[in-house]
Amino acid sequence: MKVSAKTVAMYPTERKNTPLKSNRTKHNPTKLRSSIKVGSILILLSGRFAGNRVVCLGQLDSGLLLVTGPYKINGVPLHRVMQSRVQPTSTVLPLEGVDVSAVSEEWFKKPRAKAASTEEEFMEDAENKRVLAPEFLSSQKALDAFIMPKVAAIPNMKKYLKSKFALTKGQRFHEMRF
Amino acid sequence: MTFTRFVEVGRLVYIDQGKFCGKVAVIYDIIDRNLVMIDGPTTGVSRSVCNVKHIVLTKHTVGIERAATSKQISAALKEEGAMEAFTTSKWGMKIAGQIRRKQLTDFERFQVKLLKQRRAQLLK
Amino acid sequence: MAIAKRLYVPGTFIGFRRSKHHQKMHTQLLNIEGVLNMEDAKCYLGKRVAIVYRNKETDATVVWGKITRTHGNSGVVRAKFDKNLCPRFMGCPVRVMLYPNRD
Repeated sequence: MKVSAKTVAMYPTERKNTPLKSNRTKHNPTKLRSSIKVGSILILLSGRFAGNRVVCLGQLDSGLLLVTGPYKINGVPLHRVMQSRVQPTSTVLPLEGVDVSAVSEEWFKKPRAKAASTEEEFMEDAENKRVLAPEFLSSQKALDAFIMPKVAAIPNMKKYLKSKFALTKGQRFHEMRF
Repeated sequence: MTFTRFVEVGRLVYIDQGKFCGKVAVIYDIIDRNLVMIDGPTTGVSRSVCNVKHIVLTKHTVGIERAATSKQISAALKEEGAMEAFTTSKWGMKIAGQIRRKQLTDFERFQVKLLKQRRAQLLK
Repeated sequence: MAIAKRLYVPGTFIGFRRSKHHQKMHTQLLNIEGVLNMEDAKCYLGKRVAIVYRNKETDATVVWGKITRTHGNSGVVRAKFDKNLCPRFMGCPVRVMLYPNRD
């Protein structure tokens, strides 16, 4: 029998283990809703600051929105919120050129709490309070300083951000525009 | 007191129920005691049959013939300025105000609240 | 200002989804205040609902649920709760929260 040049002398008896293509590891970033822009005034709907009106500073890599009160006006600090826990309004502050590159998501992540096993540990834990990163404080200040003149330029805007949203008697949520 | 507003050809009516709710039209024909034919070529009300219960009579009329065409109606409305007369009337202004109130954004609602507070202070 | 802030729409638990002789305890029907037709009710789909009640032993207990779909044409909605509501609560107020927002 003639052996053609094309035949391979060695043939692996086992297939190589190559991982299959899967969508599991694919990162699908959350899309920013069309109703939300940088500078949009948002109403927080749940959580500690529910009812507060805040300013949107943009979307972070995790898909969450970065918002601030500003802290100087209504005491709402720089923090992250989910888009679905927010009521966007049509009012937008002109915040072109706002720089949030210094903001790190690590600041907002809660350290995983270890369950205190003994009473002593528990007491110690209470003393070891979370300390805010100095970078957090400095960017909070810088961002507030950036926003404050834009707020001051619009009459009543400061009062508006200071006030809280609430439904009153006779108001129909489904008929309201924001 | 006698009645002054009648279901009649040429009467401007405000529609308060159904598809054309909130719009103004003109009666151009009467079918029977319950139904009329209305048309609002300038207000977006299509030529249609309408129940008398769904309309409210205004004090304004236009001079049109029975079964007048859309063109004739819009010409008559323009000539006599009946639609403007309605929109500038107290009732028309009130309706416009209600529509505007519903369209207010959150910030505008807040400003209205401030103005109301100011008015209350001044009245005191 | 000492005005109580309200960040929910009041509603009423009016009963269970049912046929003439049977009722499905797993789906409760809610009436939302000021909602009189199906179109307006659609605004509230997916919203979280809470029923808050008190008894002598506990301060306040909350059962959470979610509005799943409309029911009929008169603005009534169907809701699913984590725990099926007790029929004793029929007619009791519920709170329709404003989140999750869909705008």
